[in-house]
Amino acid sequence: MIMRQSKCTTNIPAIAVAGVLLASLGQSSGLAQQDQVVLQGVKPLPNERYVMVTFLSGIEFWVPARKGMEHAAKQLGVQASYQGTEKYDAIDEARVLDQVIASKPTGILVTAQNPEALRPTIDKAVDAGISVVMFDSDSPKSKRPVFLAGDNYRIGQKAGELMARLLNNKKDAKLEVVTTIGQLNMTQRSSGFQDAVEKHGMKVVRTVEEGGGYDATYARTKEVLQAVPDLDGIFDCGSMAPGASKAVQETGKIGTIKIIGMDLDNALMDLIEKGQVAATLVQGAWHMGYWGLLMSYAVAHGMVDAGIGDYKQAGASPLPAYVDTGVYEVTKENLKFFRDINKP
Amino acid sequence: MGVEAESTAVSETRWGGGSRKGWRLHVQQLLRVREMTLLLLVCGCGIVFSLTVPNFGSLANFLSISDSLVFDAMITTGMTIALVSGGFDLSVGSIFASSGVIVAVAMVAGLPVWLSIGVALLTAAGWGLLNGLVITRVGVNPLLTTLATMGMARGFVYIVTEGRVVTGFPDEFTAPGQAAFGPVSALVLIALLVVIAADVLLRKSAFLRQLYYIGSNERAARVSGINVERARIGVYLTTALLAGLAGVLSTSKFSAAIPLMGTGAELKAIAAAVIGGASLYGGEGTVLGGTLGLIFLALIQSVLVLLNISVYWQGFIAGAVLLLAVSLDVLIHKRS
Repeated sequence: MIMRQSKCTTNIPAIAVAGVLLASLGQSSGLAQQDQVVLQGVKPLPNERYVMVTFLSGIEFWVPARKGMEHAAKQLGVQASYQGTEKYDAIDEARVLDQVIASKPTGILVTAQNPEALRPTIDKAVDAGISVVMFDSDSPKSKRPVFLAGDNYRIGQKAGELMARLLNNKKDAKLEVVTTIGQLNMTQRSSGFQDAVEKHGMKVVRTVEEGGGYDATYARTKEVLQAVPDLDGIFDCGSMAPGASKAVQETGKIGTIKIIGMDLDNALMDLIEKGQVAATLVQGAWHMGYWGLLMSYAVAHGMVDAGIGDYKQAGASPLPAYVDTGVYEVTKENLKFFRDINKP
Repeated sequence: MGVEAESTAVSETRWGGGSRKGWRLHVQQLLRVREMTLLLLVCGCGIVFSLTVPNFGSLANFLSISDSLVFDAMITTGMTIALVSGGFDLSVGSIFASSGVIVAVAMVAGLPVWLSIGVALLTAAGWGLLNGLVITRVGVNPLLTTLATMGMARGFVYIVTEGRVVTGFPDEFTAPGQAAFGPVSALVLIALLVVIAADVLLRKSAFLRQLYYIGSNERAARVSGINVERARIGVYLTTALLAGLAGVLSTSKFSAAIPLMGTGAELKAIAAAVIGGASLYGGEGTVLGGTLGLIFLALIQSVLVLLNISVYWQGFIAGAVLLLAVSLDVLIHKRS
């Protein structure tokens, strides 16, 4: 089966940082007796709850974020749970978020399907005194104190730089971008990519829409290959690179046309292994969950005041406004280290 | 209209005589057959695009278009049958995913290929049966029933996969999805077979023909002794099985099953079927028409990419062309 036992990998530096952070703030001392994972010097609070709320809650992308959150929760001896709407639907996500708020958790880690549609509900959570952090998809005008995410423009730039390296800085190289219009993160990746490749004298000759499932990306890429038979590379800003790879494979140009994907699922792993997809960019989603929970906890426990003292009166946030959770370049060479990143 | 219009058209063609008036009548009657307008539109577009759009007219382009239509063609076939019977099936995209994923998970769990395919098709049949039973026995509107099962089947996919892409199948499973006879892929041939068989059966077989009757006047059909319930259940079994088969083939083709697969397939199928002459009120439509509708949509999409139309404009233009095509069709029918 595809479900595996979850393996809690202990992240030594993170624990050290968290440990120092917590110990220095004088949490009640004494060893955690039952739960081995709870950090030394931290008093477990089994009734304290933190809830992660997502949209498209079933997708693989959230798995590392959830794992990061659960990792931190174990270390702090608090409860973490995962909620969300399975749909790509802001209204439905707001409904779930509302229910979570009503259950009065200590903290909420939320990602917004739509920045404006979720804003009132996020503000409601903040007003209710819940320690809210946002990750991956922001609602910038809401009262959330912090946003943790990969910088999508920079991710796109990284993909562009990588493409230039893969094509040995080939002048006038022709590239295809697969994106979803109207989705901000993909639009930003796409423009980051475009800006980066243009600096290397390469050109994005076709931008096509990804669609749901591999079918659409496959079909569009086939059309692009008709229009531009001497295509050099493809960057899929979403997760349908296997669809593009299939189309390239059918023209017999696999390996010649360099494909860069995003994130890492089983299909991409197989294709990278076989050399049919050159590389993928994997976001640091784990950090969103781990540092998200630590930050939510830190605010809830009055551990941080940003050196201001009464930050609430000052109208300031006690947390950094934005944390770039970064991105990893994964190719055939280092793939083996990333294999378990999305395992639940 | 559907069958009736066709039979009048056929009889006019036969008895129409040779006068000028008769000839004009011919053309008018021919045009009244929904597929004819569409066929002309598709051929017209094909010719115009071949002459004006670089790379469009190549055999490779047509093969690549047909490669990308395989799964939609099978789903549209089922949808057309559902629409003819006065029904509706929004769950086909999710059933497509459910079978595509089940076959994958079963093989990864170690079941033999044939058994995995069997389980996947049974799952599809299960969804179809659920749709059929709720619609006929409980009496819930097909739209609402299949809206609910669309959510259930998609949810089922997430339960089974936990949102992950499933891969790692034996070669004997992935080979057929990637096989080709010369330049034509095996999948295109399978889809062609399904479409032709369904089209002929819907025209000729007594069981399927009664769907037109049920779709245009259910009460009359009931009074005349047709077992409407049984026919309806058969319809939803068919749509589900076709979607399920397409899902299995998609997993075979891409060597991977992704939980998002088939998202929005139901709307595309409905659009294609309606362009192809199916009525949302039942009693009209042919599989050939639905397939032509799908080809028409694909031609437009292909041209948008070949002509390098900005991705921001593509949705707008595709929609406008769709509106134009449907309006043209309605106008032609009004005049005749």
